[in-house]
Amino acid sequence: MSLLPFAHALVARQDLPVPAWLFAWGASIVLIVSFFALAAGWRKPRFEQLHWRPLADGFSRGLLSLPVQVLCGLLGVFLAGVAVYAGLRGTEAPDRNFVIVFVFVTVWLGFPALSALFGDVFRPFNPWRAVGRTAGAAFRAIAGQQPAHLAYPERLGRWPAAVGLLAFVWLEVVYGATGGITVVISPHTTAVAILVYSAYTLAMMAAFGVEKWCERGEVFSVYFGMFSQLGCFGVQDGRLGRRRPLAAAGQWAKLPGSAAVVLASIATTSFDGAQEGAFLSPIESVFEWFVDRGLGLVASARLTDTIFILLCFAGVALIYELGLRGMRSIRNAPPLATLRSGFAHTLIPIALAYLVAHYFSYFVFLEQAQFTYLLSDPLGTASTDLFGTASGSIDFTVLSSTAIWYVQVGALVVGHVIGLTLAHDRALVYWPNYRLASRSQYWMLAVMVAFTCFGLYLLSVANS
Amino acid sequence: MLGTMLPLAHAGHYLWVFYLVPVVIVIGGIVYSAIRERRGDDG
Repeated sequence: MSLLPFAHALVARQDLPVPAWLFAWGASIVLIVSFFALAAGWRKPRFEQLHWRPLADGFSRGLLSLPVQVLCGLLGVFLAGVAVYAGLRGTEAPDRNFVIVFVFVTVWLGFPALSALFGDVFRPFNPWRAVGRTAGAAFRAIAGQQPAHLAYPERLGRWPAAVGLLAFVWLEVVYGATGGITVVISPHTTAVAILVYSAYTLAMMAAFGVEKWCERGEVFSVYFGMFSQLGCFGVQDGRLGRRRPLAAAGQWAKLPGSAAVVLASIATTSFDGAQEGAFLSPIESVFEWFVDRGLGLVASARLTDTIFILLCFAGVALIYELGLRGMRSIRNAPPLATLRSGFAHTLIPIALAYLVAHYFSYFVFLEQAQFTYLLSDPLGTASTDLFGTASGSIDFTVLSSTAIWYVQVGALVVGHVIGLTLAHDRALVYWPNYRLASRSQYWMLAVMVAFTCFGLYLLSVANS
Repeated sequence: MLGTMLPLAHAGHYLWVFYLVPVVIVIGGIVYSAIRERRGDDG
């Protein structure tokens, strides 16, 4: 049995001055006030230009130099190797094995935050990109020519990454933790999944090219790269530079399937937050229905969770689609397909806000494990103490439940206000008449209020 | 006394209604303004 808090929304009932639902009302008022402030004072688009300024040449060259790239790639490959080795050879206790926390917490939750702050930091550490580039360089050296790649079907866009994102979360929260029957995905399964994904990714890189696949199909590159569009650091024409924060996000969603990636992010976080709270009762009902019809317990639990994760995706997509259809009713509106990709980037800050709100406490607690006993004893067999921290433990008192709640509410409000701002800014591109632009955003206001209240409801139920 | 008579045991199950109120108000406001605008255009 796991000793770690693998029920993700890790908070106890808080001692709040007002009922939790009043925070949803307050957050909605903040959004409505922000909406009218934008309508009154924001009359020209400001995020369409990057306002790019390169950083100091020496600094940029140093960070992007080949030795640094090789070093980062080696580190990425080494850590992935440690994770796989720990999963295959270490303890099967998920709370003591390096691979679980490293993959599902440190990497999966850490890189979105790092990317939003510092740009696409995963790219140099991406182990598959490092291996793919090395293989490409070896091929060029031996064959004396560039490797030939297939033409990537442009209509696919980022859909492979969207499907991969759903599959990754499915593996973690559905396959691994099915309705209390098993506690968490096993280290061995995780290691095998990494190996399978590595084979698939390297094959796709060989077929379509390393950079092409990283931009469109490699789940981690696309997912972390999406959050990096919010920040003010990036690489352009081989130089590191600063740009206006949030401005790069507007260009990111031009590829087909980008909206699906960001919607999948919101949906999977929502499902993970809701499965042991708001959705518990309906999940139990469907689960029992399957069991009554003779399906096995584990199969019933997995099938039920799969249905609900897909329903979450459909529900989130439906809310977004309703907002777009509302916009479409405004005079001079562009086609629906244009709106669908044109406003997808406005959901990126919401996806980040959902991540922070749902996993902030989980991340803070489990990183203590990551950087103490999991680092010193990665196999969890009590046979090593590499850094002298193998006897460390998690201090659950570093965060109070009330503080966690305020972080959750703050993240959701800030994320949605930024989303609203990006949407208003993009509307000014499609409707140069700012009155029409503001009117078109009534519907995005409804989308943002719906996402905020839904998010706070999920959190309040999970917390109680 | 009253508390024991009212069926409040499952009141927690209906808390979601409070979270729905702001959404309903915003959508109501949008629909109301859209109808007013359409009537204005017709007039």
